[in-house]
Amino acid sequence: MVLKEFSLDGKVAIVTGASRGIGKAIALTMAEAGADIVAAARTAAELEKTAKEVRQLGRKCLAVPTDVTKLKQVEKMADKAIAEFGKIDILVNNAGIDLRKPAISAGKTGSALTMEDWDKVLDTNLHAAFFCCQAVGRHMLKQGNGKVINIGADEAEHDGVNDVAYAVSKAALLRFTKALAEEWAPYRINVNMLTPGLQRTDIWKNPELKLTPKENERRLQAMTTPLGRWGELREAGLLAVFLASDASNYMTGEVIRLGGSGIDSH
Amino acid sequence: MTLTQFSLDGKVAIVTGASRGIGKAIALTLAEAGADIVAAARTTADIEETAKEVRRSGRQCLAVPTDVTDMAQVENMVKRTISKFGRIDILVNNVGYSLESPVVLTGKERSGIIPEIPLKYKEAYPEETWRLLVDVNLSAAFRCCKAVGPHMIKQGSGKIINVSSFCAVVAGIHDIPYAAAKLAINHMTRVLALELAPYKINVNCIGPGSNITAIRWLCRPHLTKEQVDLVLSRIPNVIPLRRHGELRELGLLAVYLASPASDYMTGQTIYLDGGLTAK
Repeated sequence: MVLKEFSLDGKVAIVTGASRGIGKAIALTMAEAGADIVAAARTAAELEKTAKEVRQLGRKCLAVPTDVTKLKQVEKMADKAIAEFGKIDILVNNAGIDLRKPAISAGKTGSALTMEDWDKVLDTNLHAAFFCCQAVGRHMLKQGNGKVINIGADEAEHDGVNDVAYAVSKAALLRFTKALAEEWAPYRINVNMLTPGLQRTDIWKNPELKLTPKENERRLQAMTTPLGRWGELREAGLLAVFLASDASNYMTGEVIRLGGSGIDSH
Repeated sequence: MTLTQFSLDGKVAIVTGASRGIGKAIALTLAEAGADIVAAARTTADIEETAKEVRRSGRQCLAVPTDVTDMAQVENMVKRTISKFGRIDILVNNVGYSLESPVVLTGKERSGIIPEIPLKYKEAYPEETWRLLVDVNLSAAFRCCKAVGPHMIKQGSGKIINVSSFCAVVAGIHDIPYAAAKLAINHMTRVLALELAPYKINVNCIGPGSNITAIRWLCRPHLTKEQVDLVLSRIPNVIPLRRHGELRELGLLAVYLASPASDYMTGQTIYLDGGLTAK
């Protein structure tokens, strides 16, 4: 028996980075829960694939190729969503990248984080979320309702060796989540962070590490979590549905973590 | 809508403190989601009432009068559950209690939320009250986990849901034993999650915010009913979402944590408090 408060019937959700990985899984699971989807990402072809799968589930999907690091494109994305659906109930700030480089090069020149790397990571992981919240929040404020879900990472609070730009971007996103939650509470807009745990997505390709596919696979296999496994993308999707649904109307400013985050054995 | 992972069909849940308040709401919502319930608390009449309401929603309910400060009674609760249902899928450690007092009585005590009313405490915390509150709020959960754990390990599955409070992380005066015990529950959740993870048992914790339950008056014998009403009327002003929580909302979070949807979540304390702990 699935309780009605978990349903997203009649809702409209924007998901950034919806072309693959966690974003795609969230878009599809939300569609399964009843939401119509606005799918945003840079590559039109991949985006259309997501849109097709959403429509196969019986929901509408508007695919909007968008570079979320560009405010003007983000504003256009929000405008197109309103033009098509008349409202935006849910915003999932999922677009994100990782660049695993040390802060200082230990030997090889050019192997450390450059300012360009730093800016790229912060632009995609932090500034984009801010732009999307501004562009979409405008409408949510007018509506007097809304659910913002920022996708976090374990690195917001733990680890981060050779990964400081990513760690910082997610930590800042966490702080942003809590501050915005308090700021937008008067407008009945819930702002929460979803930390998906270890998930098999392209973010683990890390070409900057210059590993062979076999070496990379060995690296990932060596990672352990308390539950002894990586997550399933659908599990992130289901948590996103919970956070987008009426069941969580009293939850805001919260960070909710999959994967046994923070309890690893030392 | 086909998200079957949110269903509790076929599951059996023990809920302690199921006689009223949050425990009752959790029991009823878990039942609505498909679970059969074992309702445990001290007052037989109250848990029989909960059982009646559970059965009205089409589920089975076993009411077992239980004082969770007594290990023998906790073991009896588990024995009767296994005897009737043959399994325990979910354990909700909800029993909790509070009594407000200063650590040292000065006679000048004032509250931030009703600063105009002098607080006429009769005494500072007697040591016995500290012991009782830690026992009910912390040790009881340990006892239940100890008694239920072996069954979940044998099954190779289980969901333990502890109940903490925003008081665990937001400091409020005259509430030390409750606050300390609740923060201890949070850490017990983490440690137990790590310990039971190899057996596919998830251990998580719900952190309620401000809800209207009997405990809000019972914990303040130094105030009149009207004075407590006044306190409760002012609390929403400090909550970002400007309202108390609804007990059903806690029930829905319990359903998520009890369901297959949250199989990849463990060791977490999740606050459902209108933004109170995020400020």
